Amino acid sequence: MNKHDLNSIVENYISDLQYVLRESILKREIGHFPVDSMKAFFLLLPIVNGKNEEDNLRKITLSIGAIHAALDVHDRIESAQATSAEQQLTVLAGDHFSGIHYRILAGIGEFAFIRELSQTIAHINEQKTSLHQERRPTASVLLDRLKVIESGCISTFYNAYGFGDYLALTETMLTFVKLHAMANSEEQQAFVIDKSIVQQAMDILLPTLNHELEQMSALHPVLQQVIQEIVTPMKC
Amino acid sequence: MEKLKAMALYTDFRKELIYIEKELENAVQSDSPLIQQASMHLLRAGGKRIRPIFVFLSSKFGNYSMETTAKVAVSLELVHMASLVHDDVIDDSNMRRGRKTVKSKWDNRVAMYTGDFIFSRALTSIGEIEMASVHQLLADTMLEICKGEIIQFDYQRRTDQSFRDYLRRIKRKTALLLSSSCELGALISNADDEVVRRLRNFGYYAGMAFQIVDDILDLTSSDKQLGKPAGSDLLNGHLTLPILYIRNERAFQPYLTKAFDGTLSEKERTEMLRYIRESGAIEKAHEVSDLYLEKATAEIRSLPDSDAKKAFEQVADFLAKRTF
Repeated sequence: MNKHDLNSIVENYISDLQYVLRESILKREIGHFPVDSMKAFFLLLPIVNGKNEEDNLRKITLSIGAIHAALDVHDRIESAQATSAEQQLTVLAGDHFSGIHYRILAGIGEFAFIRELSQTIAHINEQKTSLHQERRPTASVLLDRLKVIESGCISTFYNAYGFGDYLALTETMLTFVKLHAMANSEEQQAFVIDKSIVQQAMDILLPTLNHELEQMSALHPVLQQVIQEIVTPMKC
Repeated sequence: MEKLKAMALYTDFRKELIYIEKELENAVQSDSPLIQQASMHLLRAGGKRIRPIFVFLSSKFGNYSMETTAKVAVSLELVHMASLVHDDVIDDSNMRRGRKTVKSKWDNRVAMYTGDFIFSRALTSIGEIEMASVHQLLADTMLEICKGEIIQFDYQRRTDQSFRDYLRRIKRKTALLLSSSCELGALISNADDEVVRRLRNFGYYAGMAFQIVDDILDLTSSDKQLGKPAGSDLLNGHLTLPILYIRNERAFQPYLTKAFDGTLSEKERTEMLRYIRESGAIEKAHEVSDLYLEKATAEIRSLPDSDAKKAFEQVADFLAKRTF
């Protein structure tokens, strides 16, 4: 495997996900919803590293991609005013994606995972609601909440299908990447958190991140390289 | 109040309803005080609990188990509740069932998270049932309902809709979930295929009648009875069956135009409602609703006589003839 192969795997996954999420009116009115490629990469990490191509796992990852899309898209709803056509359809898009996630899991009879994932989704929404209310959480509270929000579904997937070894790295990476985006206002953020708190949270997380990066020897060298390339500019 | 009236109607199923209410409360327990408050705010607003009752009644045609049936019944009511919270964001509605909506009491984002939370709890509840057919049916139903809302959005403020468009829309909006409530109840109790089919059809026809009556009540009830402004469907740009009969009448068209572009004054709203009520359109819509009700009762006529069958007939009659 080289970097090109890896990119193709992630791009194919994103393309398949956009295909299963497609809906003609939504596409016509608001276009394609971007898929979070970072989450996609870490979702696929154990599968790519272990060369596991089981069809059910593929479907389960698509289901998780669908619920990620659903939850992410609902973060775009404005708190005070959501009367534009785009906002109204965004509500429905999230519900549609959410339904797709359930239909995929229902279709392959993953009942235990439906239960486990649903509990995680509930927990994510609890954390989002709390973060929505709190303008000045402590740095450690912010870290705890973001860890659930950013990596909760992937963690549930890892735990359910025997990929627990990848858990700490993925949780740390996705939380750090999110904090970095919040600190640098790279995009419109769902939660308005004081930047000094975000910076404190990054400072707290950095030693854990460095530790996890040192423990990556079980990963394919290309995966290690890509992860380093993601995180190195963020640490500067 | 509405819930109490429904409770009186379902007097033979009081035990099940009390159990369901308790299970619904358990299902929305949350570590987040705000989500807990918002969910309980919704639960306490009541509702007719038609979907849970349909699940219970249908499951009595097979090998009934209250615990198993409750899991499905709770799940369907939660799916319904979650969709209402999100609908209020889409429609920018401040009142529902006489109470502030979640989006109005808190804000849109809280409503989005509460809806997603409640939806996830619905899956936790039904996830206990390890029957592929049950999950596939519910998943398909949920997607169809959502598709219906997307189509409804596409049709918003369009006057070139046909009767068939309207019927297709209310099928997805209401009849499908009631049909699936009946089918799921029958499936989990392992009822015969023919019984499953008849109950599914019953739910569908009863759901169509129910929604037509709901659309009529939006035009014939007072603001106080509805807990929101009468004519809200029109104000939100939705064409309903009574309006389809009169949309081309010259005297009505100015009202329709103003309702759709948001310029209808309070006085004009009162005049518009009076015009609709005196036009004969309400009676014509009732005739269609009655036809669906007849079809519903015909579907279950051949089923064995039982308390559940009798209750279904009474509930269907109530839903189609209710005045609140």
